[in-house]
Amino acid sequence: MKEDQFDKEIMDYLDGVTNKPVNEEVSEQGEELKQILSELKGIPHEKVSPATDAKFYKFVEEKNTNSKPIIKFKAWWPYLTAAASIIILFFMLTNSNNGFEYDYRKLRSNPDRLGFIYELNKQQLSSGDISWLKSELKNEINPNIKVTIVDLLANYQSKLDNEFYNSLKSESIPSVQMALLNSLESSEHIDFSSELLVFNQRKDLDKTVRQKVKYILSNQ
Amino acid sequence: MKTINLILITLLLVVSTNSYSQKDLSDYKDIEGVYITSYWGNINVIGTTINKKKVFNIEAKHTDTSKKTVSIDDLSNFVSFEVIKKKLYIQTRKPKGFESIDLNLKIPENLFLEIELLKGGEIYAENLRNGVEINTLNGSVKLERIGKYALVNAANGEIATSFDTIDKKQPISLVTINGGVTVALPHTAKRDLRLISRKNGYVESDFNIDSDKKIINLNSKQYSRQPIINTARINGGGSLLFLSTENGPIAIKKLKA
Repeated sequence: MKEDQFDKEIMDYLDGVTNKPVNEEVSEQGEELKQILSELKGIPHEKVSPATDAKFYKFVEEKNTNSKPIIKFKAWWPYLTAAASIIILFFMLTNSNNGFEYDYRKLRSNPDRLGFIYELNKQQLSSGDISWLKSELKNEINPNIKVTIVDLLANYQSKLDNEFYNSLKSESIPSVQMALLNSLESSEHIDFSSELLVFNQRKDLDKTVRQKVKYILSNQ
Repeated sequence: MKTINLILITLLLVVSTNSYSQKDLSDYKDIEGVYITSYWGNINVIGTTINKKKVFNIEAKHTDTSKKTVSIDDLSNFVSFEVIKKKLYIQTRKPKGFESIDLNLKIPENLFLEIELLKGGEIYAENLRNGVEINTLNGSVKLERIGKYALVNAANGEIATSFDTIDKKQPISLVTINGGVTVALPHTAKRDLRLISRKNGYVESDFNIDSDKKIINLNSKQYSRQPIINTARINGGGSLLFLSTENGPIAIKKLKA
């Protein structure tokens, strides 16, 4: 007898479709199965004790409270993202600079830009701001704006370095040269005498500027 | 008869030597500003009132190394003209030896004016409504009846500027290293002041000045040996009025109402 046919005859017998299987083997197994089914029906319902019940609910509750994700990475990735954002923001603020520079770049006319620079006197400038202003001093063309930048940066003497005073080398406008020299004169933390000696050798210096250089050198 | 002829010839020579030959610039339409670059020579610019007959022209004189001065009939060898993006650029040629070219312009008063005088000369401009920017090396700068704002940078020369109207949002900056700085403002002008006179300075002011600290030699015409450096306000403060000289006094005058 095929296996499928064997199973069908047993199922038919158990379901009551047939009264007595013809096949002896089917009949034997059918009887055994019937006996098991009748015993299963006679088993009383098992009731869980109240203590077990309480333990079970406590376990579920604790599981929900202290549930840990299967993959730990998922738990702290938002913190990681936030930290990364802060770091990027910090670099944007300090290196590629901040709102001041961004707002300044949007200005087109010289009076607007000069007025903007002057208003920075009312702000506390960061190191990034000062770096930006130092580079702006080199790039700017208008002498009045340049003088205003030097006047502003003179408030931050302790943060001015050789790079700031080195802009003298490339500066050709006498009033800006004088502004830089005035700032340098009041600086106590930088020895710039060798650079001034070189600067003094320039043939295109205005008489007043040259006098100022000599005055600073003689008083150092 | 010979005497009369000689007198006539002399008169003609004098007239031709001292008179300017004008070049009409009114063909330059829709210009928003005039940008002049020159080396040596005086520059005079007069703003002409739009409501009246609009005048827009230029005259020039040439002085050679022997100090002989003649009016220039044909400007093309001495001055170039170019329009880029509504800006009229006027440039004199590079000096051949010690020559200078004086320029006399009449331009519509509503045009912005920028002058770059690379070597030296006197600069005078009046009746311009839309702002002035000047950068010069040697020589004084005098501006009268200016409107809106002015940025002036000079090395050797005094700066005197009067404004009959100012844009309250625009700064004014007048900087020189040798010479006094004088500005005349409408009596209602509200300004933040930055005053710098490094030596031989004093400050004259028709306005009451509210300063961060005492201003040395305020309204006392005594030349100070100490630097005068102040941050102050007039009429409660406003946009910047930056007045700076390395050597000389500062004056802030009040225009009569």
